Amino acid sequence: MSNLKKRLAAAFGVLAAFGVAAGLYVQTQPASAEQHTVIVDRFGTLHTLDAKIAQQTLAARHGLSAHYDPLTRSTRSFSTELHNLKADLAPLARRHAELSAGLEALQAAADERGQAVELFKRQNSILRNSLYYLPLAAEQVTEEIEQAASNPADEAEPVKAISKLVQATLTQNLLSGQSETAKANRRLKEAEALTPRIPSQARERYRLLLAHAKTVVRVKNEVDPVIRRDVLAAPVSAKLTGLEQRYRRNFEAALQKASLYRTVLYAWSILLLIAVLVVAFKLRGLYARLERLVVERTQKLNETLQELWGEMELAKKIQTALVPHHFELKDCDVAAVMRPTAEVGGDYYDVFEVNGVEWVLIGDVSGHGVPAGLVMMMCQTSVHSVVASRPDIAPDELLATVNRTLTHNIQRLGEDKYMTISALRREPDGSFKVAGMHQDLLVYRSRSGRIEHLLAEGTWLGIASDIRALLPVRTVKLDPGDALLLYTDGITEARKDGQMLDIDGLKQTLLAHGQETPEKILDGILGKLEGYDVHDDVAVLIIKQREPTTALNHSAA
Amino acid sequence: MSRTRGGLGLVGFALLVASTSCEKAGGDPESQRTDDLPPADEAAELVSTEPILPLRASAAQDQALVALGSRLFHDPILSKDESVSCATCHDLSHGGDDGRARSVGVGGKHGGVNAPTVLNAALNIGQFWDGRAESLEAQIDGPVQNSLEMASDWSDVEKKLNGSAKYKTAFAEALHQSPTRQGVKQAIAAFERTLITVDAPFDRWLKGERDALSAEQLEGYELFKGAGCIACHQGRNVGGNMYQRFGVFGDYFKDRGNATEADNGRFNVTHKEADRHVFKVPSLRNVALTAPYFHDGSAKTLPDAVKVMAKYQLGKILSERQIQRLVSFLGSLTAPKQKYLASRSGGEQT
Repeated sequence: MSNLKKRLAAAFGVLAAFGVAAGLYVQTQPASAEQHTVIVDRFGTLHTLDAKIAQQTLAARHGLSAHYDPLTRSTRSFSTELHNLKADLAPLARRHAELSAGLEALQAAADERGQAVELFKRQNSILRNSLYYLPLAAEQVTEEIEQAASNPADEAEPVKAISKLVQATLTQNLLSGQSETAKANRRLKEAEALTPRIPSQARERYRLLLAHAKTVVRVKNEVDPVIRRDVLAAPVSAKLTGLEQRYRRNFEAALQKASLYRTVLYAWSILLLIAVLVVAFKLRGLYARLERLVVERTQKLNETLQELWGEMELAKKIQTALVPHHFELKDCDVAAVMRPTAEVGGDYYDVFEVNGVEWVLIGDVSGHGVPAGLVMMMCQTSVHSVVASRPDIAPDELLATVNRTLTHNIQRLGEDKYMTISALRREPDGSFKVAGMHQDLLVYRSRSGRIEHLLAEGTWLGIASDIRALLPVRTVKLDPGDALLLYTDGITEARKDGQMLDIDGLKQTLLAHGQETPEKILDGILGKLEGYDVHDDVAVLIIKQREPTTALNHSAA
Repeated sequence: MSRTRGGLGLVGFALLVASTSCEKAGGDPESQRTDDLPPADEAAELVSTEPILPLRASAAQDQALVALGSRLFHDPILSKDESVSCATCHDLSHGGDDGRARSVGVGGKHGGVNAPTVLNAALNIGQFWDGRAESLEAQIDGPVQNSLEMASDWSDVEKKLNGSAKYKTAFAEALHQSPTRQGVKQAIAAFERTLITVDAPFDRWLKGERDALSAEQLEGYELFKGAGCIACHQGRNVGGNMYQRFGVFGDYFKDRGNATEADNGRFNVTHKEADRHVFKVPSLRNVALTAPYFHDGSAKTLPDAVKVMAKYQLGKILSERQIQRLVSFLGSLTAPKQKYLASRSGGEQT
């Protein structure tokens, strides 16, 4: 698996873990308790209104309530509450067919009951109108019959029939038995049969009386079944109870589901917590290991640096150790100093004598560092070995011989190095045969008090394999008091305020101190360098000619 | 790869869990309905031995909404050619109707039935003679869209109202929305709920002002109860809370002739044979102001109407004297106009 895929998988994993947690959390929120309270309240209100409708219907039927306002209000409120209950339950009903079916059934029952109540109100009004009017109408008709009848015998039968009819009708209204209805109907028929015998003035009222009596008998038998069957026994209450039970079961199931999801959510949260802890612990371990590693590496690096530094010191030591510190040169006082920079350098000077032949050399390997030091050492070794085998070798030949070895070795090293060098051989008369192109030679002439500037000529070592022909030889003769100054470019290239000391600066210093001892001249030059930035190795060698003496003992600084 | 698949699976599960839980129970408050009826004094109802109760002023309504409703009620903008407003047929200063047997709508067309009064309409069991509208809001759909009345289209009405800066401001103030058909209905219904005619002499008498009724009116009231009128015209609205067949004793429609579809009454709503010729029992409040009478406007005067009622509904013969007493009593149901006209002040006629 590639790194990217691993990261994607990890990101998906984290997202999914939190997604599951969020999903579980939502599932733990059941139908809100607030909503539940509202719905339960509605069921309660509907139950109350249902009971009220039954009570108020009965009250209206039996004359306890003189108007329909309370009943009308209750049926209207029931319908409004039911509408609102449907709205409250709509989201649940969409998912639970039994709730939606229950609501439909309740609505149908309520509608039917509502129509029954309206029918009742209607019929009850008619019944009451006739019932109240019946005794009054009977009285009026009786009066009219009595007034109209000329003969008491004629009036007796109809008046009796009216009385019996009213009695039977009112009884039928009070008692709901079939026999009472049958009796009332009988009395109606008897009264109807008497109609032709009613005086014409009273006949219309008589007919009205019969119509009202008929209305009472008929409507009474319509109203009561409507109350009993369609209002009191309406299935509204049962449907309401059934729906409420279904709703409560549903809500409890939702609660249980929510509680189950809560448990799962807790477990999931604990798992997540553990995962986070494990990751944190692992990260901490990783961090500690990293820190330890850094410490270890730093220590190792320091050690390596120390080792390297030690080696550098050693290389430097070799360099300074290879140059001489005591100089013996016949009839001359010699002073010299070698100051390497921080690194190993390539400066070189030498003063030595083999079989009575005295040699002075000064040189400088290009660049710094161990390779430059190595080249300088090779050169020194090579010079000594050549001079050891042939002490009176010509200086140009010496340089040519050394150059061959050096060039060869530099090529082997694969280093792009070269070396400036001047070799001076002391002649029996005390003069110097000079070859090689190092720096210009400066000679302080004691008698004239002037500086003689001898330009360097020839070529460098390490560039070509055979350079003998390119190396002219000349002679420098020092008179007593004269001083020969040999130096490396570390001095002339020293800078102060962007200005090089240069050969002129060096000349002035030599001129100022020319009459003094070599040590003093040396001090003067080093003193001049105070305040200069010195970037390169510094090597200075001063040879001062003494008055010729018999004693040949020399000492050096 | 198996870990990636596992992760995808978990994400899928999470989405599933989240999606199934989006359809939790929770009602839609928008679809809730409230009864904005003027409050009833239930305690008084229980104690009272009288079948009629005094009216009580409607509960405090939102003033901005009522003002908007009043303005809309009086503005012909609701009709197609802007010639007819609600107030054209429901003139509040003339008993809440227009005094015609059949109202005149857009283009001079005549309506199918006599315009009922808008006064105390909030107390009715249903609106229209056949009670086909359960609420005042639902009622408004009728005249606005009826081709014989305002002949409008709700979309046009909405467009016109939205084109009026005044209405846009008024709707924003009252309902925090731009004009809509629901807003129009809501506002007009709110206005109509304020049209409760309190302090009629009879109501003052019911409240204990013994000299609020004349002797004739009192006799009329006793007759009103004794003759059986009270069987249907009862409650605080003296009717309006039930339905009754027109022609309990005798066939009114056969006797009158020229049967119309409107004569079928509530049958047109329920399609039940038992409901044929059944109408809402109209309120008798302010009845002296609302001639002509009945759904067909056939009774030109109140005594005429009382006679028809006595014959076809009560099955009684009333003397002229009795009729006069009844009419005299019915006059005591007329409330002082200034009380209910005050609610109009919020609106301005345009």
